[in-house]
Amino acid sequence: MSLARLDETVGAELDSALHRFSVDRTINSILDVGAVVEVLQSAPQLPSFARARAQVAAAAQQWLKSGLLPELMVMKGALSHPITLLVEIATEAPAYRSGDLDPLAAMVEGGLVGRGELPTLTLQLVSAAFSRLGITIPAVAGRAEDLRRIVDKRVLRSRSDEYDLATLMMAAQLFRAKSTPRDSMPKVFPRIMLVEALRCGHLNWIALLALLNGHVFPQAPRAMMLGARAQLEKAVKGGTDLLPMPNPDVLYSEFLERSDLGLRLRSTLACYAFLNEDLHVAPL
Amino acid sequence: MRITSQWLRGRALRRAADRSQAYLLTNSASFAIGSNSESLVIQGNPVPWRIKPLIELVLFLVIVKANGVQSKACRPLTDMVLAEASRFDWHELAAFDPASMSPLALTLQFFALHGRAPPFEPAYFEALRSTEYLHGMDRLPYREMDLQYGLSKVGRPESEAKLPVLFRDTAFGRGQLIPRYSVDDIYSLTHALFYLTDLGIRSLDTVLDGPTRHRLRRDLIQLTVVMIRGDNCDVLGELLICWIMCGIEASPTETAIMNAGLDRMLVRMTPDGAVPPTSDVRKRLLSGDAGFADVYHTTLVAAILFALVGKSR
Repeated sequence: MSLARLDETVGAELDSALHRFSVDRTINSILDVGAVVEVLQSAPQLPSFARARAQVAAAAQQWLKSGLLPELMVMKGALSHPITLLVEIATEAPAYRSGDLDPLAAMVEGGLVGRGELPTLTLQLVSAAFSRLGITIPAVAGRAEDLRRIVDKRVLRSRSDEYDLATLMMAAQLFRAKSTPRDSMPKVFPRIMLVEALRCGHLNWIALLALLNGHVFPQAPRAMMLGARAQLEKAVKGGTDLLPMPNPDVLYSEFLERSDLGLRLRSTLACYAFLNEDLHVAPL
Repeated sequence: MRITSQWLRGRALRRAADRSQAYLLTNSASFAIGSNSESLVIQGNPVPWRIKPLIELVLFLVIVKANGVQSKACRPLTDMVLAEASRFDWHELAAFDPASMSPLALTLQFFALHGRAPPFEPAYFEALRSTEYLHGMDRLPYREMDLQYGLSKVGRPESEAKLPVLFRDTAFGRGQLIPRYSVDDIYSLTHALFYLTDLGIRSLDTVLDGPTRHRLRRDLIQLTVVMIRGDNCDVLGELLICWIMCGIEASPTETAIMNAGLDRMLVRMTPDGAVPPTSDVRKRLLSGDAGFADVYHTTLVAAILFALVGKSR
């Protein structure tokens, strides 16, 4: 399949996922859209994401205005992070008006949102996003850790799973929120993860990690980026559908819920953006 | 009349303390690390251990010892834990799961309390700590308190100062409203209070300001009422333990509520001393459809509660 066809496939699948979210509101449909918005907000500057961003923003603006997103914030506290990202991206929709935030602000004012216990990084992200939106929630008390060191220390762990990818994206979003220069971001852990994915031919992860290493964290060496490009180009050329699921041996994580389609859509979107962007790889 | 009912309840509580500990002792083999592991599969591979029950038993033994509670069951349970923990390869566990740092710290503390060398290489533990291998990226604040409390007990006293700061990021610390408290939020509060009070040894006056203590007292009693009216003796038991550990002088109304909670815990107990978390599990246990894994945690909670309340009355 060509890159243009891949873009069409992703667009159509994303439309279906957004529609299911609108009508079903099942956990899986929320997780599908959540996985997409996670990757979009990890590298929001990429022109290749423009179409997907516009699709998600238009739908999210409707969900925000109707009170659906604030309601989900109350009912599904564990999904606070992706729902917050949807609220953020909703503000990019042409139809967005500042009054669309009123239902959410009212719920915060009434103490229904923003007071639950969230994992530290999630809490920092949600707090930063709300602050940008002009909504005040209780401040985060824990001191800011050296996020770069914490991320890179993860190479000491003996195994990885989807949770590691989720935390890499959260770290990317937090660095963006803090306007951290790219060369001050972690590079050891993202690269090791990409090397492992390349060695295993693990396409789902290669796509996402290539995007993060190529456009978010300090750029990985030329050979790694070219290796990722070669594997992804081959997969797209010979494929007719979204990228496959992550390998079963890394899917397990007791810390977060994922949906099959969401993971495939997320990584295919990352694959399209990575292959479509003009990547100026560092010399060997 | 009031004196009679108090005396009767006191006698019932002492008997309940003995019976719950007798259950733990009778089922001590089920706390072994290799037990109950048949269903634990991670990344497609069966994991040859399950340490949670043993570590929770260790916490029970640490709490009763820290609070000076005497009990016939504690010595044999302690001996069993020391033997079981000495046979286990903690290094392998730590390499597999960085989240195991809290159990490692608790085990280290337990062995030190009994004058024994740790069942793993102390230099390895120190290497894990100093390289921050254990550093979680996205832990819940009360889980981070768990880790910092454990570290403060094994040669890192500076970790103790982090507890009140982390407490401010918990559900209670963020001002969660009573109707919005989830069961997990309540567990966060009870565990945070275990650590803040140093398992009932430290006064909250030294770590929380007056308005926070006042709000804590109000929330504790309201959540206790919610749990008495509900059907969850596991959370109820932990809330009642907190009431004792926090050393709050109860008003007559609060005393009545606490007694109602104790009564609920007492009537939930089965003839062999197990305390199932819900009425449904109790029925299933009595008909043979539930077992140790379903009841051991609430029984441990009840054993701590009955032991502490017996000492404090």
